[in-house]
Formats: sequence, structure tokens, C-alpha cells
Amino acid sequence: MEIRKGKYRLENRNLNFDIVDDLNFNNSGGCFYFRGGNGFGKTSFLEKIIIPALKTDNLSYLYIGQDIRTQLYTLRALLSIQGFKVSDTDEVELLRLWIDHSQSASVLILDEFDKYFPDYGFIFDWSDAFIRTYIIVTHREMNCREAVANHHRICNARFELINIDGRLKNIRVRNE
Amino acid sequence: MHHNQGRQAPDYLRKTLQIPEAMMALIPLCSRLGIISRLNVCFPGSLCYIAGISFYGRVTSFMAIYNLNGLLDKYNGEFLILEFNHLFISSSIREEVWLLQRKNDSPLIGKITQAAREFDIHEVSDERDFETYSGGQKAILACLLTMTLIDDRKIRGLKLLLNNILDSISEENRSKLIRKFKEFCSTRDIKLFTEKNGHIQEII
Repeated sequence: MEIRKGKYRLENRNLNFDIVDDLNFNNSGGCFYFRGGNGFGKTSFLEKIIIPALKTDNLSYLYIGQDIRTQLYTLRALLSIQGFKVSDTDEVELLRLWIDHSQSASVLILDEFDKYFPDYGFIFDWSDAFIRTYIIVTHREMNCREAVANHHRICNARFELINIDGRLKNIRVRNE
Repeated sequence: MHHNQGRQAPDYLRKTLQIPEAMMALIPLCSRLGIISRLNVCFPGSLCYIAGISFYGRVTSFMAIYNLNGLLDKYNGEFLILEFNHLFISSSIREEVWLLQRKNDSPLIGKITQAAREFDIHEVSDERDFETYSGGQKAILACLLTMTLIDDRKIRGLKLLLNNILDSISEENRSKLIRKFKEFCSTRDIKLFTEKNGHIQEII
């Protein structure tokens, strides 16, 4: 999957993205990090630019959002409908069950997952047999992020969202 | 206030409480079975809060924000919790303040919006829907709302627990917020805690 460089406007968020270089989420796999200030549009970039591109390319994906604890209620209901007994299952086990039964996916998106699970290497353990591309939004420092991914021998590309001119919400997406 | 027991859960509950679809379906059933003991709806129309839901584990988090005095009376010595997944009960600063103060408190709203600009949340307004802010911005606004209300009510001796809040905020804003909390807590005998890996740590 590739997102071409250029300008992208999100009317409802009043955000303008200027993607400096083509973003190649190539088929050989990898771990792609996004970071940037509050309100710079990291989640919007995921939901309005990256996920639509995944859909266009018919790539199956898993997305764990920022409000994970709300999402877990839905997961519990979903897994119950699928016949799993999850009434006493903790949240880590719920995630494991969900990921384990989603092996048609090739992309896993984590939006600030590390604030709930600082050492989230278990996600790679569970999924690296079928997930080729990890897209991760984080506020953490580089060394923390890389430590988790390097442990799993996944090459990294890092992108930073920066505000160009303050109030106008013009965001440049560039490779760190 | 309006007693609404046993009726179909209204759509705005989903929005205000961010209850997922599957849970929404359970509300009328739980209500009939008595699991929901009361469903209170406050006016004006779009505002509401729930009391007595025993299955919704984080209810304490958002009830804490809305009834500080009551919470302190009931849970003396316990924590007032701000939790990232349940920051607000309504959809805008104006509605939050209305719930807390039972009036349209413009000076209080003004203090919150002014403080928000220190964190580069420039397009903040009392009517803007929380869903149009980013996650980190919402976390900052919840902290500012809490601080402003504590100040307004001259509350002292509180233990405030931030759960998944600071990790939602960029490094620069996190430093600003902690500085603001330090200044705020020192004059009010307020202690600030965070939760990390299941352990509560005092940070201020």
C-alpha cells in the first residue's frame, strides 16, 4: 500500500496534511511509527487517510483505538456471539482471542496502545505469523519504541506530524 | 430530574456515555431485571447521567467528576479518578459545566478555555463537541475542568488519580500540565497520583 505525497484536506477536522514523501507501507512488512503533538491529527490521519487506503487496496486490518477500554466491551460482545466464554476473561486474554481469530488480517494498527501496555511485545508474539505491517501511533521516546520492535526483528520507519503555522492546522507528515 | 426506569435506552446515552452498541442493547433488559436501579435524566434535554449501573465498571470515574462534594463525603480518603476512557459525560464544555454547577457558569467556562490555549488548544469553545478534539486534547480539557472546579469550590485535601491521562499527552504538553498541577496542588493540599502497571504512584 502506498500513500502518495501531496496535500490532503480533512474538512470536518479543519486539518490540512502535507505529506512530504510517498508513504510506502510495503509488502515486505515492517513497523511504522507516527508521532506528533496533541491535536495534530495522528488519529485522524489513521482514520481518514491510512484506513481508507487500506480499504481501497482490499487489505484486511485490525485496529485497536485509543479508547481501548470502550472497545473491549464490544470485543467481549463480539466474541460471546462467536461462542467464546469470555465473561471472566481479562482484557489481555480478550485481545489475544480476538487477534488469534483474525488471521486474515495483514495490517495491525495500534493507536497509543503503549499507554495501556508499556511493554506491548506480546502483541508481536501473537500476530507476527500473519501480520506483515504494524502501524503504531505513540507519544513515547524513540528508544522505548524501537526496543519493543527490534526485539521482534521488525524494521522501523518513523514519521512525525509537525505543525507548520500554528493555528491554521497545517500539518506536515515527514520521515523522522 | 426525571425517573426513566425500564424504558428503551435513548440514543443520546450512547453519545454521552460512549457505551458501545452491544451494551446499549443490554440496557433495557438490565433495567427490567433491576440491574439498573435508576436511570436519571437531567435537563436540559441532551444531558443525562446514570446512577446505579452495577455492570459498568468505570462508572465511578465519571460520577467522580460530576459530584465532587458527594464523592468526597462518600469516599472520604479515596481517590478522585480521571480516566482516559471516560473523561466526560456530556458533549461540550458548556454542558459539563452546567452539570457540575447547575447553571450556565460563564466565568468558569472562560477560565477553562483560557487555560486550554496555554496548551495550544486554540479552537476551544464552550459549545464545541468533545468528539472533535483529539484524545490528548480531551485529556487536557478534563484536567483543566477538574482543576477549575476544585478551585471554584475551594476544595482541599484531595487525592487525584490520573489514569492513562499523562500517557495520552505529548511530551511538551505533559511537562506543562505537570507544572500546572504542581503549582495548583501545593496551595490546596492536593496530592496527585498516576497508575502504572497496576500500581498507584504519587507524583506530586
